[in-house]
Amino acid sequence: MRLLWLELKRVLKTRYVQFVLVAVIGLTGLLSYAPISFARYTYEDSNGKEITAKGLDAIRLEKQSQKAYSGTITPERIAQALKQYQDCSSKYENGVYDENMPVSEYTEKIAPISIFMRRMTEVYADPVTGMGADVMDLTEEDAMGFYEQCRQHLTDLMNMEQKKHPEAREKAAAMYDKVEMPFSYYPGVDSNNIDYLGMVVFLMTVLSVVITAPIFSGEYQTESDQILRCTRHGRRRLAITKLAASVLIMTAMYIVCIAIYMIVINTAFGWEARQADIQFLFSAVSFLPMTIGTLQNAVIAAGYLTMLATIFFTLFLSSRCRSAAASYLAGIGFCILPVFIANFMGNNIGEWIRCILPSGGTGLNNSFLYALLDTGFVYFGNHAFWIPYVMIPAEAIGAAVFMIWTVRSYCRYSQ
Amino acid sequence: MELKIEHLTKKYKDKTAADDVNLTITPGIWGLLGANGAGKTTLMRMIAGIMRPTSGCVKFDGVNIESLGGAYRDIFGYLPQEFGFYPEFTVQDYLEYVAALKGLTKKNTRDKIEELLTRLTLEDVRRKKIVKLSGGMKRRVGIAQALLNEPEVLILDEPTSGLDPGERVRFRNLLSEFAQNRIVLISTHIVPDVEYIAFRNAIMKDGGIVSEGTTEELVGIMEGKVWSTEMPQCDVHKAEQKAKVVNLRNISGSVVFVRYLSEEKIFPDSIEEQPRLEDLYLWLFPQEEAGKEGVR
Repeated sequence: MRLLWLELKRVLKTRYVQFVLVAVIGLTGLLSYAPISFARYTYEDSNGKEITAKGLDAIRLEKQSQKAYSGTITPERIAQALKQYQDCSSKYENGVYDENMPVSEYTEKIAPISIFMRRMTEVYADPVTGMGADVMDLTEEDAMGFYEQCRQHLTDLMNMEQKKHPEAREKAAAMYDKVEMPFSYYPGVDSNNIDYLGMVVFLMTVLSVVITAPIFSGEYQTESDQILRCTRHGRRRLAITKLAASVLIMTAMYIVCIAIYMIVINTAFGWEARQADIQFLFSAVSFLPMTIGTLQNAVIAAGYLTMLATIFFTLFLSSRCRSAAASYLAGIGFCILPVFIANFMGNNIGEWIRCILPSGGTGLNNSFLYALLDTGFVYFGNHAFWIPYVMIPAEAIGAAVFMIWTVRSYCRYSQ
Repeated sequence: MELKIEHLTKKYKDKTAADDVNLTITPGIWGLLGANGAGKTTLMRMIAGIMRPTSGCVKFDGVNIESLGGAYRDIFGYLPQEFGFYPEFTVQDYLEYVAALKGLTKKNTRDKIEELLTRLTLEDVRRKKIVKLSGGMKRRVGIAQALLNEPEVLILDEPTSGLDPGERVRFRNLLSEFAQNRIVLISTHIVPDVEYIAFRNAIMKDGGIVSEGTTEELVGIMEGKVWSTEMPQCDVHKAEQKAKVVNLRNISGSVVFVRYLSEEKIFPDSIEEQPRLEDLYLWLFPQEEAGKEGVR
């Protein structure tokens, strides 16, 4: 414990670590504020003047306008919303997009139910082309059959996307069977909140690489390891201590930053919004029975695992590189590699690689968050695996393997 | 207690840094002399266990140091040629850190650090960052860390580089006192550092040990090969072409005292001089700079 304490003291006294820790807290603050700053709510005041509220005011007004639609979304409420939409839209030549529609009418009648309409157009999409349905073509009967259609839409979608992979279709249906219906919705939910949570995780993963990359290589470079390796505890115990110190510091940083983000965001948008089902906010055919709260928790937990795997992998690279610059470059390169693979190598092999890389669970559009909301599979022969179910075990195994390899590599390092 | 180096070889792609080195090191101070690039640092790193030999081994009391592992490191102290340290550390922080790695208890650590800071006159800079210390002070911190666990085997690679003459003398005295019943191996190319304190010396050249013995035995090799004479200043250049001049000193305006190495007397009126270890070193490493005092 004494050695661990001294190592923690050493790392935390390092100027660049202090700078990175302050920077990451500052950036988390900015990322927490961003979704709040994006909120807009336009309405007409008593004098008929168009007013656009921003930030917390906009969130408050929007939640107020949607208050009547919160809770369990029964088919009757969907039918009622559809009727309201169609009645309002049919009064104007170009429907809800008609410039003659008063702002107040749009704000009061269309905006609060637009999320209902998005789900309706999604589940009644054309089974062959996947094109979303026109709201004006939908009937009350369609609204009443919304939940049956959710299952049908999943089948259609999987038939379209997974034509050659029956196992993927079966697995998707089996997972979706567990989704509870009817869905729940609570105003205040905003997809930006979740997107930015993913960005906070990505930011912390990148900065954890910056902090841990020179842990061993920096010592090789300055040759300060020579003295340490000649001491009784200067091999395995020192390597384990360095790993433990890195993990402790990054865990503390993760907890602080995630706490800042969650408190700011959920306080601003409302903690009750965490009870809303992801199927109503993101996609009606999301496979897992999850609320926004459990989604946030899952992203946080998976993000932590990703960060751990990335830290151990970076430390492994550090234990193999002879200069800090080389380990920085290799660490950052591998950290952002899944982003590039996801964008430029979209085949099955590319998908496998990006999933099993230690930092595979984080990134931009390739992160665990989007994999969780998506219907993507990877394939091995006739077998299909849902991407989040590949990422999590790969990261857990990666973290354990690279932790052991790092210790071995440091102990075996020879001039 | 003995440290036995058996057929130790270290080969790189295009170079053999240590070539079948055999040496048995017994308690006392040993000097390892050799020019830069002779293979001293490579040999020391292999003795320290931080460099794997291509072949051969190092045994402590008959057991391979690789098998001894932590038990060997427990009785070992090492100061490398390049003393690397964490830039964020103060002297006190660094010594505490190394002491923890050496397995010293908290109390032991406190006492030992106090003692070494006093002996190495580092008390005033204990709270200073090592990076801000002078070269000599850094070297003393390096020596302090090596002595923390009172090692039975102490390996010091160029320990006196950067030390001023006063510090050198204090360091030599400290080592002489410390070396009782311990193995101390000092690698250097500064001969006077070991000449008066080393119990035995080994001389390395091109990766191998070319000579080994007590200072007297080694100096004996140079009997009849060290000469001195006086000559006009204008003849010095010619003299340097004929013999290995190891020392020049102005005596008066135009006359110079010349000390030179040669199998036989080259200049008339030369007298035979008492050889020193440095003469042997310069004999073996003729490319090394000889001392030239006050020659204009």
